[in-house]
Amino acid sequence: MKLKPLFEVLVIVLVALAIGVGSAVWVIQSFSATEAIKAGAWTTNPLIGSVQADMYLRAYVARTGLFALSKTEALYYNAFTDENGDPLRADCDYIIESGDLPARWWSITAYDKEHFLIPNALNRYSYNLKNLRRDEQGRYKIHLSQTPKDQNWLPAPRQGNMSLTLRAYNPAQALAQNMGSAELPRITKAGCK
Amino acid sequence: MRRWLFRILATLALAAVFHVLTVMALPRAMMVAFSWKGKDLGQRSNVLYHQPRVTADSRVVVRPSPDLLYSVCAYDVSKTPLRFSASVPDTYWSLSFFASNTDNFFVINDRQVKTNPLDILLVGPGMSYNNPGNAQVVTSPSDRGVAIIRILITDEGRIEELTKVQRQASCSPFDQGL
Repeated sequence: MKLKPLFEVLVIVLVALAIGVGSAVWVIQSFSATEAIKAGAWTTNPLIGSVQADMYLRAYVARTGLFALSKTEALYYNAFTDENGDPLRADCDYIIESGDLPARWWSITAYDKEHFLIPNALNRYSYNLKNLRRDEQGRYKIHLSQTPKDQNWLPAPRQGNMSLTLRAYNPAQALAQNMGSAELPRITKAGCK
Repeated sequence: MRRWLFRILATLALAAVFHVLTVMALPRAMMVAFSWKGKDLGQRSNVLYHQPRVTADSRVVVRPSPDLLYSVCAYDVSKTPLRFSASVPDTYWSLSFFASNTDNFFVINDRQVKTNPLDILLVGPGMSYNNPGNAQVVTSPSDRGVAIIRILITDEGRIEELTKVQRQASCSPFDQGL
């Protein structure tokens, strides 16, 4: 089959556009760009917000965490799965447990699949180092679930997957230099409906 | 055969160009989209807007922190520098600047400020300027960008007090008559 030159160029451009844009969207949506450091269920990248970030990380952060600060100011760890690597599902109950992070301030926030805060009657979107109830050793357990719990309850969305962000403001220098060095919260599945 | 090989190679080469252009354009496109959202809300460039505390209804920025009060200024320093003034509270506070490609090229927090209230002059790339007194001068790598002030809410009982501090901050063009 012989194609007319103009039509042939048009077909090449359209196919290239589909492959080029499609592959770019796929790469940006994948998590590989942020997985420079992986600790348990948490992933992060020391170049988030940095001028040294490569184009893929910059694009990924622009889509999922626009205006993130650089690591000397704040660290951001994201969890889209539990400890076993299974996606965080709204119809499952999870327990998030750990101790303090070496930072001036830290918090854990839950998001829906669109990366926005989860609507709930208590307007409870996060827990931080000050408002958590702890045991005698100073450790805590947060319940991430649709069903209300007596304490440290972080409401889950009605449906779909969800995710968590652990923020640490003014982290200790040792943590900023080695972001995988701290004990990060364990996220374990307690059961599903 | 050779003709088809040329077509395939040309398609792949062009696809690689489109791939790179898409990835590089996304951060700038997100910044433009953010600016348009502000314009839809009647917000102008070079004005600091103090946002109420975010809730589940907030849809301007993805993955917002509910523990912070945000003030946002979409800036344009192509013609004149911009002067930032802010009272700094006794809780975590920061002023950060983001270039048009989303890079966080400058940040200062409550423990680093030398004067309270803070006085910063943001100038464009290669811009001539006069420093109004003792303002700290910061050069933006791009004419356009976004400035964000974050105030940490450490205690629910302090929201009213911190909101008052938040509203004392401002950014405004600094016309030097040069």
